[in-house]
Amino acid sequence: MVKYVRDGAWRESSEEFFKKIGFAGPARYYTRQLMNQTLLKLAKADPRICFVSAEGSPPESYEAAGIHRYRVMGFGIAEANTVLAASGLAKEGLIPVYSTMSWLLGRSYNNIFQSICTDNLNVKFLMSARGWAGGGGSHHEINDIAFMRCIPQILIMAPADTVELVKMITAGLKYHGATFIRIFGQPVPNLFEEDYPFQMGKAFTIRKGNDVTIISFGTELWRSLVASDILAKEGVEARVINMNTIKPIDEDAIIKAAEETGAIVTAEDHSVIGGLGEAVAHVLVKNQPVPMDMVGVRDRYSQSTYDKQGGWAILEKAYNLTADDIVAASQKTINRKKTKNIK
Amino acid sequence: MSIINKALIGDLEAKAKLFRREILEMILKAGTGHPGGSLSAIDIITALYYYKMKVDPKNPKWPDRDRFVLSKGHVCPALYAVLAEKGFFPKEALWTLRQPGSILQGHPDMRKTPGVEMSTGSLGQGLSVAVGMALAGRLDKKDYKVFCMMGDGEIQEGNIWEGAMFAAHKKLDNLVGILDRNRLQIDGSTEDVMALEPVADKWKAFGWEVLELKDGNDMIQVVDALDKATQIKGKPIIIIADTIKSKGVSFMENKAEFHGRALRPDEMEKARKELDIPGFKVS
Repeated sequence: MVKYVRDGAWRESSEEFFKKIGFAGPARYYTRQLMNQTLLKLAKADPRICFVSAEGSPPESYEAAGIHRYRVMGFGIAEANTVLAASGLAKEGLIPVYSTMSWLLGRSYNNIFQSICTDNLNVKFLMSARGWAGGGGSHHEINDIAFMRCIPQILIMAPADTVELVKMITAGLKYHGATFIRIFGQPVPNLFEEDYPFQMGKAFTIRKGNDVTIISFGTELWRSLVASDILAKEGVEARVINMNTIKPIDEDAIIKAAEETGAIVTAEDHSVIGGLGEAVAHVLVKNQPVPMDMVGVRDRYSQSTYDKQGGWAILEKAYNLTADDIVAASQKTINRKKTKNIK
Repeated sequence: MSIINKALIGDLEAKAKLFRREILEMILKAGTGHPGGSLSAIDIITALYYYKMKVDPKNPKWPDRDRFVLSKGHVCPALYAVLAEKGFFPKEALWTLRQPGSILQGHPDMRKTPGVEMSTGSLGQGLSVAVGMALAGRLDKKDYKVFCMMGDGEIQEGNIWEGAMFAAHKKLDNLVGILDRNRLQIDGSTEDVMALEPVADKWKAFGWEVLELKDGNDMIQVVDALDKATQIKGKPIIIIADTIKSKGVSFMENKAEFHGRALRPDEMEKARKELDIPGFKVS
């Protein structure tokens, strides 16, 4: 296993992980807490950072932490006004951070496209893909990467664990330009050591192997590692790449993986339409076509599950997002490579 | 009114007439564009840039400048004519409107056109962006004003009312909205398509100070309304300006068909007679 990764961390359940760090309560609270701590630290150091919200984020905590109340702006349940005001703030040199649930991006899409991204204004979208929970399909965003990825110049990243989350927010807020960070809403094991050298736009190879490459990010990364364990038992050495930046995508890493392993599988908690899979396929068809498969939500709407232990697992299974699905896709792709049935 | 003011009004009126001619000529050359709303709004935009707003054409990004957001972005020919005359960019650029590579896009683009404060075009978005700018002014302790011109048809967009509610909630008195109430939209009368009246009551109910400008194409009244608007404290201000669509060209006035089409050559000849400017030339 490569340096900077906690060996076997992905075999530990998130419940065990939380027990170990002494955190009681839903994983998303832990994530949010870390996110807020990071944002506050950055905001204290840079007075241009301000916070806009359309409900759902706690301005008091920012104020309590010493951020001036004028820098924390609640807009009520009005997302369109919120993102547009962020545009005006960014235009005047401030760095507005808009943090809410990912599914609310879509309803402000035209505003984001026309009034923020057209001018690459420095707005930070920290969107929690609330994910696989009680809210159901309306509250689970599985298309956000698809509709954000086609926006010129935008930076899109998604952390795979809390260590990467902190590094990514820090780097993303220092970068100048429209930025979308897709934050997980369900528990993920901590994969990385604190000294993990995160780099924007640079894929990180977690596991070496030459039989097939699994390219993944966010909440699917640890499952890809579980899949690589299963494959290893069958004698298949899978390379696992963390594609933490979806746009601009690390083309070199994809081409190199295609050249060296000859088979690619992508895995994402997102629709297979327009997501990481298609982004990778785009690079492959232009440079190094090899057998490929995509694990992701297959052109379907999401639905509810119970927001407790195991609730996610049921839907992950129903929507083909498990480690077993990644294993099956890997085997299929390796077989295609062996039989050279590319026409 | 003093003699000085009379001279000022006369000057503004002459400028507005020149801009009317330029608007029609540039749309004619481009082959497409929106003359109707450009002509209804031009008197107010002229007064903003030549009377009210602090701007510096040599330094378009001067931090203390007043901001103007043209939320009804399709009437940008009016804004372009004013910006060119002010010296933000050479006048020749006007005749490249809507051409590939032009600094003058079919809808305002802040990255291409010096002096354009905000890219607009998707209706209903400008007010909220202006709200953000006004908030930023407060955060940065600047005393600039943000003016935002909306079309009357445009306020059928729900987004406008989100911005309106918020601006009043935050008592943004550095924000002045201007409603170009020309009563026509593409499909016809606003009152037939989606009635806006009682429009003043709506803004009042949302917590805005409403200034009703009886004739938004009368320069004396325009100047007066802008003066009043910038003196009000404690709440956002909206000037509801009754205007005439396509004002200044008799056969075009109050006709929805001139919302979004260039004049034909024969129509243009007639319009030129009404907007005769000695020595006028399209370079």
